[in-house]
Amino acid sequence: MTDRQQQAAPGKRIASRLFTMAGIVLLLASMAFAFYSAYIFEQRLAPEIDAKSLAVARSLQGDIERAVGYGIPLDALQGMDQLLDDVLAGNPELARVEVSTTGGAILYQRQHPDADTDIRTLHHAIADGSATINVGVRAGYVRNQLLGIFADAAIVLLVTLLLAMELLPLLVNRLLGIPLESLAGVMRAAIGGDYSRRVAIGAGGALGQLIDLCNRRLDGLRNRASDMHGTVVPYRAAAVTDIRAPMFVFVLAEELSRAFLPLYVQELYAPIPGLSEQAAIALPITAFMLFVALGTLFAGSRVRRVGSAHLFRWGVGLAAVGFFGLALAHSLYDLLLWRILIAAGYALGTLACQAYVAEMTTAENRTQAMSIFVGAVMVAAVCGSSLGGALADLVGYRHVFWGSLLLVLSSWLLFPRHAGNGMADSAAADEGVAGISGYRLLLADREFMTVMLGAAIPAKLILTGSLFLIVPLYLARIGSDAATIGRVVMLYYLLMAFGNPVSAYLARRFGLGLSLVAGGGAIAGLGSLAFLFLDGMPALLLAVIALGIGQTLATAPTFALALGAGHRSVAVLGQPGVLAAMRVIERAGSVVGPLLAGTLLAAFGFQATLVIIGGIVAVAAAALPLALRRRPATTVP
Amino acid sequence: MSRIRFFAAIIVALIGGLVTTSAATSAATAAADRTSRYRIAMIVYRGCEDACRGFHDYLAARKIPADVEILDAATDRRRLLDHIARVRRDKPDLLVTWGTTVSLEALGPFDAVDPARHIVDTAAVFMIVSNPVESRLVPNLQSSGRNVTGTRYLVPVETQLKAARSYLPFSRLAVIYNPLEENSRLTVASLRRLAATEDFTLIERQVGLRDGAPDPASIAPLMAGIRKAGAQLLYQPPDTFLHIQRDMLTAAATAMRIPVLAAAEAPVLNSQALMGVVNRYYTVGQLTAAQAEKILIGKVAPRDIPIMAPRNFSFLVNMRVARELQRYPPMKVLRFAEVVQVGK
Repeated sequence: MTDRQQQAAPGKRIASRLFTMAGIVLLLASMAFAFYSAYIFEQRLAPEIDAKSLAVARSLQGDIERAVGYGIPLDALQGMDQLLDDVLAGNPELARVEVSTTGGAILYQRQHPDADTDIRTLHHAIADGSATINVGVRAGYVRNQLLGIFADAAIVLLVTLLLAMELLPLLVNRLLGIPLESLAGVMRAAIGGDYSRRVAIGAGGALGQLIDLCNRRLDGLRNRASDMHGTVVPYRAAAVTDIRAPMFVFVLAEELSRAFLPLYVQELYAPIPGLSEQAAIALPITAFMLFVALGTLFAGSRVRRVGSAHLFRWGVGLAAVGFFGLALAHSLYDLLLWRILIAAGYALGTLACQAYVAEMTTAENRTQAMSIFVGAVMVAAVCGSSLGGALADLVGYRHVFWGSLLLVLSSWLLFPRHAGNGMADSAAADEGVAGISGYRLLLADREFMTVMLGAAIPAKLILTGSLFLIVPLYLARIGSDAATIGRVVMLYYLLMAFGNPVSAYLARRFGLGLSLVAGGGAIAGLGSLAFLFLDGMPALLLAVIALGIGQTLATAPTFALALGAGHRSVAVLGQPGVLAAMRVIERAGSVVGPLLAGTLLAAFGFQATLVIIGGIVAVAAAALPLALRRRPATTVP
Repeated sequence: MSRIRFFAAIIVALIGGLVTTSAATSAATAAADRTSRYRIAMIVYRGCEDACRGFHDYLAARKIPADVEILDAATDRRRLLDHIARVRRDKPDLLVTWGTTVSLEALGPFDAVDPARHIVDTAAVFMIVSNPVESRLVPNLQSSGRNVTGTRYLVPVETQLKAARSYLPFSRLAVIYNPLEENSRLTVASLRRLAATEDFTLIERQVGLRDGAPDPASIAPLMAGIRKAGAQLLYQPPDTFLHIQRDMLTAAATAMRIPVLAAAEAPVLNSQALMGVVNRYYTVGQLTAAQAEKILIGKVAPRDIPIMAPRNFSFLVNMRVARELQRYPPMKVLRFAEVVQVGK
């Protein structure tokens, strides 16, 4: 089957056109909806706020008139500051409340310490006309509320578009693309004189009739040409992109709990001897990362023997049991077990998808095909973190895991049926396996390990330690709901998803390998130092945005830089082998990250932990060029 | 089928409802048609005041067929004993006692009841007793263990002080009391306990005695002393002697510019105490009548009825004194305070 690449083209074109159209429709509809809600909101909110502010003034009027009625002089009212402060605290839209005489002299006044200057003042006189109550409404209040609505709408829009982008091609391919391509393949073969094929996929409508017609015609031809003794080959076109949907759904299942997993663990926490509470909460993340690495390591060499479909089935099975248990978990211990099962399943599942890509591609187009894989993971992370957070607020942490279970199971239904029948050429299956001696060689390779220690490992350290563990815990501490946490985590993935192509282009076009790796690492780490000057949501947003930008700049060039630095090992093990080993070695950072963060958290608190981890990453990145300078021969391929 | 069952259920419910209603109505009619109305005797110490009126009004509002006979001791012990003897003889359906003195004389301490002296075979409800447990009228507030129940009227001292602080923050609190009265001694003891936890200094002064009785003339000199000691607020305990002398006491304090916090309502309503955190006597009278209703109509044994207190207290503020002292209540206090003597 050498015509795979041509086959993939028409379906893709139909899908991309359909997607563009559907995307435009979705975009227009969502935008219209967002603007309309905002319009309605503004129409209703502004008069609503004025009415409420006047009600506040009337209530104050009642208080003052009563006091004056008791014979208390207007300028001798006691406890007015406290009364007005209570009013301000209970009405966030108010910036200032004051009582002035008819002459304009201010008797009592309180205002928000951070009140903006843009204030619309409403006046309300007390009955005898001796004083006026002036209520200052923040003009920015409505604006801020609207901004919030738009931000929410934008996120919904984005997630909708991304989901549509994933699901639409799947539908188009299944209903149209693959039947058409299969038909084309059978007919191409027939024209070439090979009548042995038969279209092995049905379709609806005219297309189905056409396929039926073609099959019957070929059957007739075969019967007539009795000299053809060859067996009938059922033919079904396959494309490497078929893997994207199951991959996406499979990863989405795990990403759903990204934003709230530490909070769920915290709920189930019971003291473990010799471990602080924070380190214990980090344990499930650490265990997950460890078992993903081990699973990848040990299953890697077995892919060839069992085939991708079989491997994926195992992955789905393990993860499904894990999510089932997780939804019913009643202690930290059994939660740990379920997370380990999911980790093993995750490792097998992702490995199976990689194996499928290897089975369906040749060595030349494999690297490009692997980007399908990376893309699906990124989009799943963006959708999963935000969707999962919002779901958790709606139905509670536990019930989200039922959703994960459902997703994992449906990913099995989506997995290409035709895959994993030993189609892989041996070269493809051998890739990605470094072997014990290979790891020994790499670990002894000074230049290679310099890049790993300076960039790859710290990158994972801050990702799992700060973003996966500390960020949810900190946000929950300052009162954010799971949906907000999900959006903050999503921000990181969003930057990664959209920034990766940019940094890949920069690296290719300008050969900026080392500077991107070092600069990106420094940005990723330095963002966390925001906690030295700021606090709360602003500081955290700065840190997460810097992390996203820094890592999106550094990630792709890090692989290239490591290959260049470890060129002697590459010569022995081959490029794919080294890349696969890198993925395992960098997970050392993922394993250590949560534990380190948890321990630091127990000792120094949230802000210091983020600052320390950010500092480690920034220092490592800055040291990288110095460490590599001794060998200027490092080249970026 | 299910529809038929549904209608059947409704019909059964309707019939059940009719039967119950008619039964209840006939029972109520029977109660109203009683040939003899309930006879209630109420022994009071100083005439029929607000608690007594609250009791009457409650009975009237609830249309309880009862005749209340007021037996006024008019602060005279001999007359009180006459009333007790009469109740022992007449055996009314219910006895209501007003105040600690009347209640103890009529019912006796729970652990020293003398059937020859005390009323034992008539159900009794007491009210306006400052410390029913400490004065041994009942062993605890859940049950008297005998044919008696009642109501409380004092707001806990701690609650009084906390509420007072929302008006006038103080660190030095004075108290004047009659050492011969148990109520006063008990209250001062709890003030001493609270001084430690609520973080204030307590300035205690006992009323001087003359011929074994408290001397009204000793009050004015005491006032000068507590002013010198730096008192920011004077607490008037539930003390009968001081209650009688309340005009003089509160006037002397106000003249010294010391605001008075009274445990009872009268010093705020009629004299010159600045504030009081109290249960209104009228409310307490109504609550006492509700206890009586449980006994007469509900047929509940008094020993099975806990000693009750009104659910919400009143924060009384005497505006005339506030103006005179130039110590106006904070706006937030004014939102829930009951302001009295506004125009006087």
